[in-house]
Amino acid sequence: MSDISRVFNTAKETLLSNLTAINITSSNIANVNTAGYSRLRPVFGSIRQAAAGVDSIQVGVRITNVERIYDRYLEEQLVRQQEEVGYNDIREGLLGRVEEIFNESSAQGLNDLMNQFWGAWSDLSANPSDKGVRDVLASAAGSLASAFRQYSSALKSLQTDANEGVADQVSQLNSYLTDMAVLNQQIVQSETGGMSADNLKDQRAELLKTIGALADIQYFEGADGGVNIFLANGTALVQGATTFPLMVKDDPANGNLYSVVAASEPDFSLNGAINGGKIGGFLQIRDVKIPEYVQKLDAVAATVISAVNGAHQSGYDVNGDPGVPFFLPATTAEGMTLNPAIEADSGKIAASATVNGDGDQARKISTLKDELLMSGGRVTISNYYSSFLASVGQDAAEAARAAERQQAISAQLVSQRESVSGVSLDEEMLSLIKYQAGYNAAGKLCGVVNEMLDTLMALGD
Amino acid sequence: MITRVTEQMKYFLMTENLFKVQNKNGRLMEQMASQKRINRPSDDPLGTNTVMDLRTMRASLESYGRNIENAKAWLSVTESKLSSAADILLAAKELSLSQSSATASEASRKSAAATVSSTIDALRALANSKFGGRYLFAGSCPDADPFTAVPGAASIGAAEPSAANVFDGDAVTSGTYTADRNKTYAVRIVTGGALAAATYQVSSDGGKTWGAVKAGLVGDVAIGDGVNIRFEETGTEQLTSGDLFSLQALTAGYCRGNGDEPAVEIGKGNTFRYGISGESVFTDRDSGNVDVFTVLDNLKTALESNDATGIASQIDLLQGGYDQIVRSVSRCGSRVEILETAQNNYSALDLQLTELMSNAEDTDVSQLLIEYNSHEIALEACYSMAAQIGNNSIIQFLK
Repeated sequence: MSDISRVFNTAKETLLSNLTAINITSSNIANVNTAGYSRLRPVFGSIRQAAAGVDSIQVGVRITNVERIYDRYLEEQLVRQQEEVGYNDIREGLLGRVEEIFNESSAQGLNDLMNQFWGAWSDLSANPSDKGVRDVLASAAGSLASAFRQYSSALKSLQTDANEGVADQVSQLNSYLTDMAVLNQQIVQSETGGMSADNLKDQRAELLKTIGALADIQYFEGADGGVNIFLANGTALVQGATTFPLMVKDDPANGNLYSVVAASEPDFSLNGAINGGKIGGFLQIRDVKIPEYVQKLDAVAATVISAVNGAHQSGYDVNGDPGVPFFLPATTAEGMTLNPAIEADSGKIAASATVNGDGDQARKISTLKDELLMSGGRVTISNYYSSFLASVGQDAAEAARAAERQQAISAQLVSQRESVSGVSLDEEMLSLIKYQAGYNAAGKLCGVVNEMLDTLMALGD
Repeated sequence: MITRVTEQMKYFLMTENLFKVQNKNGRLMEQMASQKRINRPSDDPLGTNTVMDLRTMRASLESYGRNIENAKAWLSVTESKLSSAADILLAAKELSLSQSSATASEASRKSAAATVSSTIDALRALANSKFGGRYLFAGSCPDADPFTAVPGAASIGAAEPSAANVFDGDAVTSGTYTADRNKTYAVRIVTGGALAAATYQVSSDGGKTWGAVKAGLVGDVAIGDGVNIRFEETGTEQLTSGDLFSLQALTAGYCRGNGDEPAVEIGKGNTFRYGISGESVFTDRDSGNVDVFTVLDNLKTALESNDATGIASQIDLLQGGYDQIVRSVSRCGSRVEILETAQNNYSALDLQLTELMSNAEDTDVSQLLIEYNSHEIALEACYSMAAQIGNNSIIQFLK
């Protein structure tokens, strides 16, 4: 038997369900610009209210579920991608600064200064007794030595910056880990209380990406809904509501640069376990690239110092006295200094091959530029330096390309994620029209049922 | 294939693309402003390497060029001085020809002697001339006039200790110099200690090359060509490794310089001796040569003593001296020729290097402009799309 009150009831359910749907639509519209928001979709379900039979068919409606549109696989890819982006951005930035140190295109670079230095020796060989020429050579040598020192200290200060970068990012990471533990706790509480944790989960997905941008992490969602985070070597960072913060510590074995360690285990360096994210990028530049550049720059400086000193000490100065070391003995670019005795008196430059005062020793020193003194006697100093510089450029170009590539992939993934989970206003407007129509129709139904009741009541008159 | 396009996607993609185009535009503008394709090593690492190698080559060329200019100037001054010297000798020869004949009188010879005397002074002034503060004909002895007014006897100079020496005793030279050229001797202490224990090395070319290490420095030590040196421990410090003593040994004659010829690099591995040694020009120390100052002096004496045969005997010698100087003039000429050939090669090479460098690092402006224009269109398209982005929505149609 059909029943008017049942129809009334259905109309009520329809009104309420569509209102809920409009409510959900409004929260989607409200979050159109919220980063990481996953759109919600009401799932309408019909409810059969009576036993089978033609007369008794009465089907109502209810919102059975609010679906959070979300692609777990895509989210994981996004976290991985953030690691790559973070790592490569840091590398690109730092290597870009390295190449600015060595840039020969605009200002006078080390190569130009070396050319001037050898040129000054050659000029001296033609005018061995000319004080002006000697002074020019002394000043060219001073500029060269100071450029070597400056390049070396610029690299060292870049290394210090990268070191501070590690410390900053570690403290940043710790604060994110704390946030993560709090979120975990809230999510577990909400879900055990039977409440929806959708927006908390959106926040957590965003936080995972932020953490991923700092270091290469492993994570999984536990049975209770909390996320556990580890480093690549299994060191736990977050387990449910508990955090295991990291810290930095001076490492005397590595020039007192910071080691990343777990606060609970401060003697075990985790540097080797972090190979991605911003921290990984800082560590790689600090411990691999900069030491490599410093070592090559030192090799150039050491060769110039030892070759020039060797030849200079077998020559004679203007007074016929044996040559003193031209540069103070050193094997690093940092320690390259023109001998103060020569700086004070350019007459001490041993331009002569004999005690009499010819220019032959200066001539010999000027030809050192063409001698194969580096890489085990295979290349000249200048060739070595220019190919070193090319390798710096290569590294910077490669890092810039990698950063660009990873950003493009990341943009692609963000687009995909937005395509799946993002809010489309057009779609929401259509949904709104749809739910409004449903609501209006249900309202109309109420009116009809009301009229029917009036008709029914009138029967008794 | 993305089918669902959402609001954030639209804005995100729009800004991404806008940044990309602007970044590319920035690069192009930098290239246009600097006119260089390579503004930092990463723009083209290989190109950077090439450009730097080219710059180094160019710097070498410039320095070879400066050396060549210097050497050419030196040689042109040398050549003019030597030509004047040759003229002087020719005049002296003519004088001796006329004064050796029977028509010459004692009085004419006396006045000719005075002429020869001033000729000698003029020639000595030429032989002692300087260029850029350096004697043209002194070899590597920079300190005093290389040719003296009166001939000196063979002599051994005092031993000069180096300023850095530790030994504070005396070093005394003695002996009779027997070699036929001026030399600079140097004695270097290899291992220090008491005179009997110390070892030393001797160089007879001013410290360029060193002989074998020898031991024992007690008393007079012969170091070659009759030169002796004796060390006396009159001070407080013993001989110490690295102590150096040098001395000049001069053979008899007018010339105090040596036969070293100054040299510069005029190419990779190409050492060019541009100086002409005064010893080979004016003295008889090279075989077949005459000592021009001695010949002129003999002529003067013969004229003064009215000795016709003495005068006549100088004629051939003067001719020999003249030939000897003219040979040196032509040596200057051939050296200048070598320099000029090198200079021409270098200016051609420099042109090539400039072109290579330009190819490697300079930008092609017209191509850059075309590229810039096309990017500007892309940028404009981006902007107009960005302006439209909010307009296309179903909201516009819901009234």
